[in-house]
Amino acid sequence: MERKDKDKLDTLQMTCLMIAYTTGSSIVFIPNSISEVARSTSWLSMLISFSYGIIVLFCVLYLHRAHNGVSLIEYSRSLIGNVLTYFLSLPLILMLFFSLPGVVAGIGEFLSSVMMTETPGFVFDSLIFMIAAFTVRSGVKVMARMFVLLVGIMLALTLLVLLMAIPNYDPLYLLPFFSNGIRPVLHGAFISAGFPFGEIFLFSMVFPFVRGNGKMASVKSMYLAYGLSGSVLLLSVVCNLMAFGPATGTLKYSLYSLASVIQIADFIQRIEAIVVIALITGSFMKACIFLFILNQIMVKLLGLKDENTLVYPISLVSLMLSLTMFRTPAEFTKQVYTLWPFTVIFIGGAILFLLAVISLFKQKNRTSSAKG
Amino acid sequence: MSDQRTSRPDDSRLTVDGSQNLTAMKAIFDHCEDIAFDEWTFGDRFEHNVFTVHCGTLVKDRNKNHLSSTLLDASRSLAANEQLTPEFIGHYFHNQGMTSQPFKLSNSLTETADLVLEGFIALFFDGWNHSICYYTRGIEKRAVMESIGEPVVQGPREGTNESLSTNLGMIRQRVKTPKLKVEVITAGSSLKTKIAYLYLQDATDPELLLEFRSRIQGIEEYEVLGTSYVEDWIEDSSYSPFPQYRYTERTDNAASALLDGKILVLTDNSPMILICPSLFVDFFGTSEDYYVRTVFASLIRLLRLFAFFIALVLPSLYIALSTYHPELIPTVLLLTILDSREGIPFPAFFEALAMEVSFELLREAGIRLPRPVGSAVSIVGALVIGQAAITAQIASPIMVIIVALTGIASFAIPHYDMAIALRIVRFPLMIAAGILGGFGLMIGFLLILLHLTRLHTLGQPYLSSLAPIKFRNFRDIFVRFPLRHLLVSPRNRKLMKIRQKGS
Repeated sequence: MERKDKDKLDTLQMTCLMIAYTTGSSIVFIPNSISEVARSTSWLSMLISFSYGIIVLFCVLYLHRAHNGVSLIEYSRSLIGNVLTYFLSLPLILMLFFSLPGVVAGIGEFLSSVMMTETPGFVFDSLIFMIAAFTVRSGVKVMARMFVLLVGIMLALTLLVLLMAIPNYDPLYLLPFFSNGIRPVLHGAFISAGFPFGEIFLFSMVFPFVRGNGKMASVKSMYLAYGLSGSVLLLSVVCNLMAFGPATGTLKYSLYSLASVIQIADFIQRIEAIVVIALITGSFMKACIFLFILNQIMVKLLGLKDENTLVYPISLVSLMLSLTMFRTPAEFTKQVYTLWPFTVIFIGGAILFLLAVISLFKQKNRTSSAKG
Repeated sequence: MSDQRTSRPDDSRLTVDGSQNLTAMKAIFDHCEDIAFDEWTFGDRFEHNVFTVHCGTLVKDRNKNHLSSTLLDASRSLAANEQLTPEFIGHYFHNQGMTSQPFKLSNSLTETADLVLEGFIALFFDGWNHSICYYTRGIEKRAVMESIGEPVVQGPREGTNESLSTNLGMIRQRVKTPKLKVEVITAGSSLKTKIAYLYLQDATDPELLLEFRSRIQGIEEYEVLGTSYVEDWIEDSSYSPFPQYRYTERTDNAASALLDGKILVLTDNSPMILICPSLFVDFFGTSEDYYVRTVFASLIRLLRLFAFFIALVLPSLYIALSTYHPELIPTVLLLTILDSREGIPFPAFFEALAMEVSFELLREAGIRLPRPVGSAVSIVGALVIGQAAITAQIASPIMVIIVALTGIASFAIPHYDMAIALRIVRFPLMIAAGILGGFGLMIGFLLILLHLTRLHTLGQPYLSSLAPIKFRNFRDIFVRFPLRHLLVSPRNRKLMKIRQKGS
């Protein structure tokens, strides 16, 4: 099962996976959900939740290095034992069986409500699951290679839209600070701490695939990648605020709306297609990574020889879930922006911090016993 | 080969009895009227019999008497009163005595027969169980001409022809280093085609060479008619529409591929040189890119990239936009399109499909027909597609423009194989766009990208330089940096590394 170093990912590929994972679908969805609660101070919420994300990433990387680059499941086995690991990974699997269909349902709903209103949602969902399953089955190397290109395209298109919308910006919309006190800001931070920043704890299933067996060549570039994703998201939030002001929260797909108001020289107009391309690419990548993580957890838990056995079954179950879980768009919003952040912070975060603390103590014990 | 010969049964050995050899040879070449048998005698009382065998259609200089020169060579080292006997001739040739021409000795019937078929003339002396074979092959081949498949405006014009030795010679003339290795294998029991593979030692990745050797193993048993048989034999995915190896008919191209660390495959009787492995990005370059100035070459490459996307996506994009997302088209343009589509009985998808199919038909018909008729087809086709279809309101003028643009763009792709791949992929994309509009197009693109990322060529990722991304190589992909930067890297980088280590 042990992979050779050559068959693993290099730093650039890993950073791109991370950017894809963090900005993937959120770049279109996040501005609206935060601005809805935090209004003009959304950027502060983003900063708070981003700092939380950095702490999570720090823990993930610490555990990665402390355990020679094995995955979450493997080090939790060595830290808390086999039985407890099964017990702890159950919520992780359930979370992923929520988030994976959630990402795909989000894009399916976007497409059927905005672009192609007459096409039923299952068409989009099933096709995206199909290519996601193909991609994950091709292996992590192919996936990473592909995502390096796709992340580049996605970021370039997003920045292009944000740049072209410059004539529509009004910095005054960023005022006032704290119009409703600190609580809405914290609420916004809570949402974005769950989606997308806190989700990074699941990346502990992906880090084993980077070269170096725990002695990762460049830990710094992981933080850099995370910082880059954070800045892009922050930029997107700020740009939307400057363009739409208080109305940002009411526009469902803010970046899409932003693209639709762009008009340059009477000819460059209605460039929403660019945002749609970025959105589909981003969500596709995020779905792939979720599927990959879920598959890895199952494979590691069950000790399967063939890593690809479960990809199709998982995709099929998730497809069914994506079609049945959210009866209305309102329900989707509620579940993704209320329940999901809670789960991510209090279950995902808790598991990770617990493992980190145990690992820290064990290591201290080991060093002190070595000394004594 | 040598152990095969030793394992042959003894009855294929030549005997001391000349008449027995003659009957055996005649039995082998039964009903082969182009094989000529001549019988001679020599000696004081004409007591020694000799016969010669050659293939009359392969031998160039029929008048040259190899027998007399053989006898003359041998008799030179005789003392004045000694008689020339077959025993002495055998002794002389076994000891590699001086001869006026290079020769081969054989003691096997089948080997001699093979040599005769390769254009040798074989001499059998009564009383000596060997044959002497002289190479006399001379058959007319197409002259070295400008290559038709890859014309250039500036740069060398010579192209390959069907003779393996001529082609190898032209490559050797360009790459004058013992590091250029040429290895030859023979394939097929009837065709016995010579397959040569060439590589530049130190420039070629040794792992690549190992992979190539392991793949080409076993081809000896198959009849190989051309280089493409080898391609089929060693390629990674025969069902992919994308070519994994490219061809050239130009020796300068071949030489530059050698410098890049590629392996070349040449077969006898085929002018095509196979370059393996070939990456996706290699299909956008031509040899002429290095013969014109940097700025121009770079712009041309960008234009080709643009042409690639046009040829791939334009019809499907039109279908998607006009059918599903008319709101994305600027209003004035939309009005023009609607105006031109007025009265067309088909939806845009069928219109596009019909026009593209008829264009493909025309193109195929134009290639297969004899050249004088071919131009007539294109004239009629252009009139039918262009003028009549619009007047009859079967197709809209915009559709005709799109089909024409797609066609021209696909002609701008320098490698024919890649243009074919585009033609194949274009239709599924059109169907995807016809069913699901822009989303279908996106799915199609992602699938193509996934396929390309998974694809390998001789064990290397097909999308190398793009995925896995290597920014160092970008100086010779979409643009071409000045040659002084290229000659160090990426071209010949491995060679340079070794040189630096050595110094």
